[in-house]
Amino acid sequence: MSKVRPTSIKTPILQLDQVRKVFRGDLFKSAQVALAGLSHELYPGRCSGLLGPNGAGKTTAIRLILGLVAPSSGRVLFNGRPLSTASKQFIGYMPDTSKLPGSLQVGEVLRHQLLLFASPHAASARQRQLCVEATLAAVGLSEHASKRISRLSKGMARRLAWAQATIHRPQLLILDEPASGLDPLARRAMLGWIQAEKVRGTTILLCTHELTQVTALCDDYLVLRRGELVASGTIAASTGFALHVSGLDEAGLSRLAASEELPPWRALRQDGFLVELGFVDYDGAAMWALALLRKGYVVTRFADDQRVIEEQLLSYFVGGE
Amino acid sequence: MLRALGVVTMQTFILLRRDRIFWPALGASLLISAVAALFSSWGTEDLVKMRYDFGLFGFQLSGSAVAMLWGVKMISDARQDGSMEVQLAAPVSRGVWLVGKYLGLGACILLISSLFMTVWQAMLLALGYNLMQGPQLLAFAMMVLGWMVTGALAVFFASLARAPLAIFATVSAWIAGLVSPLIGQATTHDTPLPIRLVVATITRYWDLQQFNLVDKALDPAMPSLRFILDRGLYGIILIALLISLASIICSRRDALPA
Repeated sequence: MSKVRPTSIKTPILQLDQVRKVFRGDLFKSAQVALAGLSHELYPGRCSGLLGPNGAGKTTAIRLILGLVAPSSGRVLFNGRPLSTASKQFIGYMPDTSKLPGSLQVGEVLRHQLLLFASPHAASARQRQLCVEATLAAVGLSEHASKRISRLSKGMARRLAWAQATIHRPQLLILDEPASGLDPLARRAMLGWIQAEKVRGTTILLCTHELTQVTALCDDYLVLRRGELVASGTIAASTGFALHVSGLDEAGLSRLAASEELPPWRALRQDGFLVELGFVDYDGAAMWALALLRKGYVVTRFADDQRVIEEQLLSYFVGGE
Repeated sequence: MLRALGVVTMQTFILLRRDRIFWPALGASLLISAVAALFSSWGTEDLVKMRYDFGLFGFQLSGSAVAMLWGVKMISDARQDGSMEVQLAAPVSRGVWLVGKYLGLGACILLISSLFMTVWQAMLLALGYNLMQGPQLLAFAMMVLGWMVTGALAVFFASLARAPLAIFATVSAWIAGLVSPLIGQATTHDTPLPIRLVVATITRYWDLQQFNLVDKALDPAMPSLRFILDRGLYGIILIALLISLASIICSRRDALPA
């Protein structure tokens, strides 16, 4: 397991300390270990990607952080204190699907949300109304304030979910597949809003299957598999590099790696005569480039490549390192 | 805490008011009132008693059914559509959430019962009778309290089990509460002692006929204050007990299954 701790000296906003969750079995099913001693910290202002294959324990981890399920053992700390009902005032949550009662109106949901969270920036009825109007305008739902949720399109419902998760200006924002089911334009808008929250200093936990979102938005990542944390680190430290070389195939590259004692590549793609090699660190890529040039091969490209880190993240899903 | 309670109560009230059951329930009340009035004009016996018997029986049935359906439905809907997840992710404890849900249900039952009452009074006036007086109003209020108890029962079972099982358990317990005094009276000295004890215990603590004051409704004199308080407190204690138990269970269990 690789782990790179952020260099911040700040105390974590959220701390999972040896959190274990076992769902008790019954007559029809056996007990199920959803999380097996997860320890991790989220630091203020950082965006962390929560990754893992289906059934890895991501949803359970989110539910533990939100206090919807209690850990079988271990602790969840928010700002250094055990998570309580009061501390949830500083947390925003956007679920993976629209989980709002269909017969409520769009405006009502946001007004209720402000009341529930007792937001200081919306203490009076007038302030709440203004805040609701501003939020609806920001997500493009101003004209639908009195529309029932059941009559919203999927895209509108996702925008409303974003609005209800952020209207009270949370310190920690938990996003579960925020862009799922959105068209490309709506997706771009959603990613822009997440970026804006990052700039505002909100700590974000982004649970997604889309690795492109993680590499584009996140500072850190953590990968769960079968309830265990298999990898965590910073995206910046893991930026990938790619080099293109022609005139060699995989067998030739393997022979060269053995003779020159070169580090293994992370990814290899072949397109006709052109071979693309991906590396997770600069040193590995540079050693290969020098070795290839010494042997007289033509290196046509040597550059950053986010796809490499995506390949690396994906490899954690199936057990590779 | 009060703010959270208020929001959950208000939201539940709005949801139930917009629920599909609301208008059919109101329609049923109109129908019952109309049929009760029609029967009373055909009858040859004590017309007033007949009207009250039929009307109250109809109200009792429709009101209890609505309380049971709403009680179970609002909890299971919240679980199913995920709104429970979103609300409990906010600073709302599970106990407060459940109490808020019940209060919302209670407010909606009060609304629908006041609409029932308005329709019935209007019907009486239209047929040339006097408006309902003290004993009749008391009988109606007790019946509404009975609906509240039934609603609390439904919430209790809905917090324990999924909708179909919760409905089944609620209906069974409701019927048991209605027939327990009759079964209690049917036991004799020949009945085995353990059975007599069980029946006596159920009859003593779970007797929904306490809220049925149809006989008193025809008596021009108001029942004693002690009589009213006994029944009122019995209903309130049952509600408090059921909702407290449901809140404790809800607080100790995971809000969402695996």
